[in-house]
Amino acid sequence: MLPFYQNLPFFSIVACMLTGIFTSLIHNGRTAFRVNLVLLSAVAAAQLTTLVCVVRSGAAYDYMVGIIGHPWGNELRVGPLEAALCLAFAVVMMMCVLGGWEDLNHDIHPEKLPLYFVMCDLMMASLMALTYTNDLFTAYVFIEINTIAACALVMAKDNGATIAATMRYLMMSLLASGLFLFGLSLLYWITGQLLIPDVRDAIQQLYATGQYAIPLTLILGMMMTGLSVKSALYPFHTWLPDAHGSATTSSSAILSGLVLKAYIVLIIKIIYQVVTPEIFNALHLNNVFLVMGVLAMITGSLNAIWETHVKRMIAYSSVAQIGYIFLGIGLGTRAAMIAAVYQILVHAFTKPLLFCCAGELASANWHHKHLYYLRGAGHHAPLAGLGFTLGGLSMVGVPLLGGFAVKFYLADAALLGSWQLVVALGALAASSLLNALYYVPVIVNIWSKNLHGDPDPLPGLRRKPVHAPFVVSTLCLSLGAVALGIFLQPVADLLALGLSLM
Amino acid sequence: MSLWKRLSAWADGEEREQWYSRPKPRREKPRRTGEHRQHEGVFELVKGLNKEQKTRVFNTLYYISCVVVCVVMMSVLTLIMVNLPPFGDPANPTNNELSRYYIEHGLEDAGAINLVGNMILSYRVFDTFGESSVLFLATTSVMMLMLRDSRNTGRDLLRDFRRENTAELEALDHLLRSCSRLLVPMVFTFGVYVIFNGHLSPGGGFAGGSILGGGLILYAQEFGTTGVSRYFTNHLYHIIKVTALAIYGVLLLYYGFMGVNGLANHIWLGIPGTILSSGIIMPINVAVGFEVACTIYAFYSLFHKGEIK
Amino acid sequence: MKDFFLTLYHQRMLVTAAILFVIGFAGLLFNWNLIKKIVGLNIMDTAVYLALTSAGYVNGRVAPIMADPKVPATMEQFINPVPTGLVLTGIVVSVSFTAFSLALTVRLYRKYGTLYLDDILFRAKRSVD
Repeated sequence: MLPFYQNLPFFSIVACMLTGIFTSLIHNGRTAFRVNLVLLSAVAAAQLTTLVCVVRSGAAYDYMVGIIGHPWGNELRVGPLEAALCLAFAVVMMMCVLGGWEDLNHDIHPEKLPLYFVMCDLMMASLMALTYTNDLFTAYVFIEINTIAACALVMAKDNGATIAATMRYLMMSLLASGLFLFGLSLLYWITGQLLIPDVRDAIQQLYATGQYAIPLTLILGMMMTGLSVKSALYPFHTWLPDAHGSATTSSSAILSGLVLKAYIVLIIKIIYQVVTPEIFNALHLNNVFLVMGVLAMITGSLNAIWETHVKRMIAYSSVAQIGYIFLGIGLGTRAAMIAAVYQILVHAFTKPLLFCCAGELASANWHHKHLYYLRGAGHHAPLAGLGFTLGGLSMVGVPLLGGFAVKFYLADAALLGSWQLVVALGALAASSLLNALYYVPVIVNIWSKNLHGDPDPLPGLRRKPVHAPFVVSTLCLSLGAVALGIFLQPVADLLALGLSLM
Repeated sequence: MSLWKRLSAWADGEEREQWYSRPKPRREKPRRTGEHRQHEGVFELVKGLNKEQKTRVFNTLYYISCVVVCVVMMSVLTLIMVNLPPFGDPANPTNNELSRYYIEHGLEDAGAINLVGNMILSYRVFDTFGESSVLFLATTSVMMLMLRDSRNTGRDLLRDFRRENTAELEALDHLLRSCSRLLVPMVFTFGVYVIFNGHLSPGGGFAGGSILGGGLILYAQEFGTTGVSRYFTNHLYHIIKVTALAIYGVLLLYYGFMGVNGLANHIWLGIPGTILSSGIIMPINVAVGFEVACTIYAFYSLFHKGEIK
Repeated sequence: MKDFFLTLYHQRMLVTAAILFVIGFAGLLFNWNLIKKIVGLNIMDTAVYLALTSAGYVNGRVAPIMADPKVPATMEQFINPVPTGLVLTGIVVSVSFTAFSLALTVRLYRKYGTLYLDDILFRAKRSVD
């Protein structure tokens, strides 16, 4: 008999799926919303318990689903890093739903609203399963669940633009799934295993003997390409601005805060558990990630500068921020990987904050999302304006906020490299400047009043009444962003412990 | 205006309000289908050309890059497969302890003589629950798109639906009707047979469920969808679907929890090779079969009429 | 050269899978018509399933369904059951996605009156609020 807490991850995943299934019977959107909130709080509590217990026991454990022992069935692997990420995912998911609740009522037909929460529940299940899984094929199945739920979240708004964006997103995602599954089946062909530890042993043996060296590299390349398309790494980011920019507020927040991260966590798992960092670096796959990450940081920001639709601008900023994560992965050292995981957490808190506040600002201005019409919106929705300011400053990298911590750790990790030093530090500097170039004008714009007697873009607006869900969401997310910027060392220690136990 | 000029003007305190200019109202021109394969990024390179030339340049660039990508893909795949272990060789890495265990111990562990069924519904039951959830999610998202509501269905569309409905009732084909009257019972029987023999023969929930769903569609062709809606309503559809998935999920929870904690699960494995055998596999097959049948018919009905009836 | 062709013959299943995959991929890239794109995606998936099933095939062995439960099964009798099961999962996933993308296509056709993705994206860009 295992200690009871070890069952919690498996229970949370199945509970999310079952709740999703039962939610499809509910006809009332508000009830579905409440059920979803209760579920997410329970899941967050379960992840917190798991995290505390795992850290206290000081060891990760394997959880074998089913009656039969180690190599024969599905497995989950739970360690501090996985538990911490799942805790963050559950909390952020809840805040995204709370922060966008008002827009959900505005954007989605009341009859279809319960179905939206079905998607949220299943999305949470897939996020946790992708983080905890110890089996590559389980990962594939939950990638598919994640994809279909993400597409449904985008198209829930149900106008022409979102459906077209969903189509584009779906095509790219299916192509990526095809590549991943093809890579997986060829990997199975040469290793004969599906469980991650067994695949690792097989790969190490193959690498030591030099057998199948060419196919191994190419297969890993295929799988990584598939996952990069899904996580919107630079040359494959073209679907992202449409999908994230046109969806409803909660969907944008969930998609850029969590969905992209799940695939990146899977990439990190594959690097650390399947390939091992030594072989990965020896195959020079990390340099590809480094270059693409740097390009993403620069081009994402450049695109965001020219964008005038506020949500598309934030979406392009996501492309740049994903570049930071891949820069950390590409540097190839453990310290850099800690910075990358730190960025996953920081971005998971900051980007939903920005999206929720942008949605609220827009709805205070009659749902106009063009930056011209958002002038002075901060005075109509002060809390949203404050949240947006905080999030934007964190993205720029102002000290005491999460973004600064990431830049600090990334620069620190880059100091150990040779040519990587120049590339990484240059990219960090350039990208911070570019981030400031598009966030600061927007922040000034939302707080500025008509000084020069220009015509008011939207005359007759009053201050928007605040709603409790939005207040809770903004406060929690801002608190997360600030806490990640202040308590650098404890968080980094936890992540280091998690990575060493992975 | 260049970015630098805007930036310096902004820093000097001028033009503060013009940082973002008022968006221009857009006029939509009528255009022929497939006329513009355009991309703004490419237009920067070909500024001097007129629209048609630009389109042609973009098309050429696009097709050339596509051909390059396909050739690269083909060569990568060729490189991989030439270096892989040979097809059908018993000494391949895939024929290892894992497959030996599934073949030699499958019957005693899980109790079905269909060893693939053992593998997917007992050893890897968690994956297969995920797979059923994908199907469930697909129906849910198709429902989000296609279910009629006041936003996505205008008056024209409703008129079209009504016209199709009456046309369907008038045009019920005599030949189709008598043939399907003969076929439908056989299809249903065969579907049920495949589901209930999933642990004894090739087949199982997914295959049998598709057959049942196909039978339902044929029945709808025979009597019109109004004929089906006498037995199969939206309400019934939801009940069957949710019950089936819930049974599956609860079985998974029980089986997983008991197994991982080393407790005895009180699932009777039955006599191998008979219909009452194989522990959780047969109930799961039945649940999956009903869910898949519902899903297939729901797809048909949603695409056809925008509602489940 | 002869060796190369011999290898190709031995790997005939994978060669077919690779060709099918590239055909599907090209169908996805070269067509702007949504239905043709979806067909291309399905061909790609089929190629993957062919590769996966042929990973489990062993010459001279049969499908893993025991004829007589009293005779214990041996590995020399049956092919590898793992890929067969995985392909089943893959097929179900592909069916779900086909239905989903066809539903999206129907809605886009109702909205924009065309099946060409470039037209649709161009018009959708204009309707962003």
